[in-house]
Amino acid sequence: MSMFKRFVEPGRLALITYGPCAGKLCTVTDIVDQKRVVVDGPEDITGVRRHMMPIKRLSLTDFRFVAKRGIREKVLRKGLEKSGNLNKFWESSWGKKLKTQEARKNMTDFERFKVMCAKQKRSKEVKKSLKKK
Amino acid sequence: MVKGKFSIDPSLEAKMHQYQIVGRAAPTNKNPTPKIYRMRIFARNVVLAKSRFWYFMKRLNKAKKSGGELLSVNELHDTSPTKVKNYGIWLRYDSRTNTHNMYKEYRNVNINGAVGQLYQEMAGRHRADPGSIQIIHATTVPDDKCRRDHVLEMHGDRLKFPVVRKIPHAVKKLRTTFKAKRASTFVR
Repeated sequence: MSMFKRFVEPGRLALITYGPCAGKLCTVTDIVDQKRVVVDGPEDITGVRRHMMPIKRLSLTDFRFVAKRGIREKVLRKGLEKSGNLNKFWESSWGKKLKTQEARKNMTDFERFKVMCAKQKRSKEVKKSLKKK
Repeated sequence: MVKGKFSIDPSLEAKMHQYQIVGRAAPTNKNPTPKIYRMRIFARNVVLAKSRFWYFMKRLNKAKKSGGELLSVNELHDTSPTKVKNYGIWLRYDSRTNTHNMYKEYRNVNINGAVGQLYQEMAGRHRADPGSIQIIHATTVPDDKCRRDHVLEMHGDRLKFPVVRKIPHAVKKLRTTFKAKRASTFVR
């Protein structure tokens, strides 16, 4: 049973976790050396321009599509579309967690108020059902 | 999908720059039209580049900055800044006792980055100051001409490797002194 499932390889989808692009998805397009890769989420899709980045700043995901080293933008785009990796990521539990974190961060005061009311309602129901027992 | 304006992290940019400097010595009675020389200089900025130009001119061509003329100073940029290349750099450096020639190879995306790596490595491995390093030649090397193992092992179509030990690297805002859970260095 292989221990590692996620590899640094061309076509691998990764999440950037540090720097000005933190929180954005990108695809590894080429490997420079043991510590750095060239990364591209085509800029208009994920907002990441093609550039070199240390692997330290990436979190690899489960998703990849078969790609050659130094994959060009056109082929990269086609690969992403055909594999649907971006959508697959956002529908995975990791992606969903990120989305809820973002939603919470961008809540307005009114939304926070609504959440507070909903939580109160829920706890009232819980207490009521416990009291019945 | 968070989208915004892309900005490259300044800490990821190469600190060295490549300049093309063209200049000549002062015209004298003996030599009214001195030869014009062009050099490719790697330096952190234009000021250092010009200084280095005259350093070489004095040693090689008997041309001093006093009276000498700089005809042009241009920064040279890489034609393919996102394509990974192998860089071979021939250099000459002064150690504490002697002076040596060296050939080093680096993998990088632009030559500025490779030369930056060179200076860092020379400082780390050989305690060589940048002032005692002279870059004789720096160029891209095709895959089959590379000689160094650490560069050769990055060649090949089917190269892939797992992240064996990942040191957690959090955004500065999320860093805290204390954490509830121990960090895990395992990446699936």
